[in-house]
Amino acid sequence: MTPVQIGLIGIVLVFVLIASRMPVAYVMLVIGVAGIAQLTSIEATLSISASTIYDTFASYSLIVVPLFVWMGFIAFHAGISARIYDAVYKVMGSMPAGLALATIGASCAFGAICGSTTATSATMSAIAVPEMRRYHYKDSLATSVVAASAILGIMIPPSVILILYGIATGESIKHLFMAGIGPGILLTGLFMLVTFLLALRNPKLAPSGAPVEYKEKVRALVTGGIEVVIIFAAVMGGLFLGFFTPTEAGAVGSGATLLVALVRRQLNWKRFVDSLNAAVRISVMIMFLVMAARIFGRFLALTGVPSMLANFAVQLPISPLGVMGVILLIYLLLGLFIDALALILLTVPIFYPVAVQLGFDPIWFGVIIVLVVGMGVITPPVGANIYVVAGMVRDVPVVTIFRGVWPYLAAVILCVAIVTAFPQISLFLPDLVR
Amino acid sequence: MEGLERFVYWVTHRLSMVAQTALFLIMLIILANIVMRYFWAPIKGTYEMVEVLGALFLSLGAAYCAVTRSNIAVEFAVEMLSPKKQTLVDIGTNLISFLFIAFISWGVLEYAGTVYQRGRETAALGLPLFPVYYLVSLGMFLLALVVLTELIRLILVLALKGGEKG
Repeated sequence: MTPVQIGLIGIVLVFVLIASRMPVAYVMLVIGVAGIAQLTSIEATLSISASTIYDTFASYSLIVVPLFVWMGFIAFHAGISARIYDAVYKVMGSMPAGLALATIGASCAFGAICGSTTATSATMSAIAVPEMRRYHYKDSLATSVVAASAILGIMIPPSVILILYGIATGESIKHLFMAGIGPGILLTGLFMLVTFLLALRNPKLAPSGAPVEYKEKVRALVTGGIEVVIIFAAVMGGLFLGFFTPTEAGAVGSGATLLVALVRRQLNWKRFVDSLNAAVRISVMIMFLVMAARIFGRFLALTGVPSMLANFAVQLPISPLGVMGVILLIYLLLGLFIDALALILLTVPIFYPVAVQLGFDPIWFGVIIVLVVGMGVITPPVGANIYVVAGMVRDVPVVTIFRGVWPYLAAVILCVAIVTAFPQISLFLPDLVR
Repeated sequence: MEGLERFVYWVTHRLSMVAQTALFLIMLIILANIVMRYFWAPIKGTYEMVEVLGALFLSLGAAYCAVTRSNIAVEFAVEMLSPKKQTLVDIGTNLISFLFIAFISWGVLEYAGTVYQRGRETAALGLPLFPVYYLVSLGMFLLALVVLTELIRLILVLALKGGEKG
């Protein structure tokens, strides 16, 4: 068998094992180790595996992941999102569909200090859904707007998935964070437009909330929004201006969020330990995936499959944009079944060389595929965010949420199309410093 | 069997607390280094201390992550099978996982011996590197133990209950 044939068999086996409920990290580890052993020797496999594991576990630059994950969990356990929602709600609540618009705005702001979609949807389910139900919003809208808005967390920096793309490809995390801002704001606007149009067509879907006095709006914005502005400015400002590295930005972010939570007296010992416990579980899971993906990536590189695919794609009698369309379709289909984190780490070694060979900007490509796999968190059958919301709002069937989420899915697809047609939306900020 | 499960949970839970402490210390060291860099001079060996604590964090957290079933898996395809067939599939995948993780744990252990013999140290502080390699091997060994415990549980479920609660 040629190395390319072994590589292709390995890729098929990956999907067979993933379908058999084996954790994705173990699958990549098993196929990577077995494949390297087949192509080299047992001794070489042991040496490559041991050095890859050590290099991943004892890496200063990769510590950025647990630090940003912890930052999100401190914000989650300290209830910072509740004040953000309160502020945006007081400003927008009295407009048509105002509470739903406030949910989108608050998710966008919370995304600026938390890179997890599930943490965002869990928080907003607890805060925003009861409020919308109090004002007789239809369940399908109230729950789906929460599930969909949480996608904003993976576009607005700090985004754990963009960090992982940077780790997997060697692209600058700073540039990726900058590139996520434009599409994140665009997607926020599109979600708001969709909600507004839905409410305009059927006012019973989302009635207006109670009016709030101007003074109270200002006070809520100052007290609820100021901490997000401070944390975001400290973390992203320092990173973008070159005062510190991404790992240091993670430490500043978790330190600043911890400080705000302590000053606000919203973090007792139990919540603090809970935030650390959740950070250990989630970030170790992610780092184990990174380690396994590196071993799998070493195997693929030995087979020559990525370079073969890249050369094949360049010689295809269709335009580069057509090839990109096929790649995005593959991501969309795989995203229906595989979690976004795992999917990025699994497929980037295969498709990144293709995108670069075709002449696409690798930073833009990262933003686009994160947007596409982000759709997977609200599509059946896996749709993690849908199940989080269903778990929090137990009397609303999962089917109702899936039914309500389609207009938001259309908004994400429109966002992908716009950012593809106008890459500057994503690239204008990183281009300022590149 | 329950005793083994309780023991594995107790050990992994305690070690996860060490991992939590390591994460907190990592944040403090990096913040201290930023502050010192601006007001005086960077703390010598910051990178190395963070790397050692990072290895501690990930090695001691890996088994806990498996015990709490935090790993990403795609469940819907297997859930369409009968409970007995689900248990059989899980036994197969756990067996494969156990064999490979144990193999890698042994590989890192062998590598740690080589690092010890060569006397490799960190560049700035001169810390010996072999304990960190042994720690990583221990983390992988504990992970293999968690997978083995689950494998034994599944085999018992299949043998005693015909796989009904797999």
